[in-house]
Amino acid sequence: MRAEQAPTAPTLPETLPETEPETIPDFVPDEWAETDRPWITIVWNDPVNLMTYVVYVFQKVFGYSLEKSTELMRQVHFDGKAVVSSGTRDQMEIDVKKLHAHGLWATLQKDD
Amino acid sequence: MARRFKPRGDALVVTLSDVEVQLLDELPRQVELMLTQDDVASADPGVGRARDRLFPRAYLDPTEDDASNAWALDVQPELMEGKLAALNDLRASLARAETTRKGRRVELTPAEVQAWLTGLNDVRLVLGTILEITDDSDLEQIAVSSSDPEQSERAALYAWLTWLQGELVETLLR
Repeated sequence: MRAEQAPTAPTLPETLPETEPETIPDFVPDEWAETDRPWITIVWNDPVNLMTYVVYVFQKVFGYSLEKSTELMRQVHFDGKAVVSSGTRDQMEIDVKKLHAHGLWATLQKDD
Repeated sequence: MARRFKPRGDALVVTLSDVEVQLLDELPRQVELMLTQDDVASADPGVGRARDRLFPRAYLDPTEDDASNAWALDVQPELMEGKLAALNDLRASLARAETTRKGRRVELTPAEVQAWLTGLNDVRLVLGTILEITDDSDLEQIAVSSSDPEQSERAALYAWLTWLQGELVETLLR
């Protein structure tokens, strides 16, 4: 792991401002949360695809390690599905396309 | 039996019997027809299901129908092209098979290895869907007890392809 510098304590203002600021902050929390909520790609279990093949495809498509790919494959096999990637809707549509090109059963949806 | 796939530099040398070479030409050709001839798909519900399996929806959520259809229009022609190219490249590589003392031998380029991987997988997905394979399916049972000789033959072919694809993936993961 990369070494981090010890954080320094922030300096606190000596007095609190006397009045509340009149302007409302630019961002609206609810809206921000909505666009920030990521999309996810799910791979579903199916009875045809070989476990070793699924591991190979995860390594090839996502560049995941053998360990991570094996863990995801086991989730798919034993839990019926696994979240294999997350990001924007556009990115997930590309991931689903790559997985379908390899014959895996994949879908995308908004993360709950 | 000796290993079927042996790495040679970037390439992979595969050794097959005459019957295997014949089947690896015939089965991908049948899948090509299933994918390209609409009358084949509409005449056989199994083929329709197999097509749906090769080209599943991108979204499960029914409220995302519009996005799902737009995605399919945008992406599926390219996916189809890729699948047909892989099946074609698999068959084309076999045309170079040389007869040796141990069988028919072909040296596959890295691109051809990928075509074999996805091509074999798609043939298995089609056969598996038509056979209605489940996680607990007993292939031998299907092969022995099915009253439909075509189903028995498919079960045997599916089992052989599963083994062959497994050999290929194991070689690549090693």
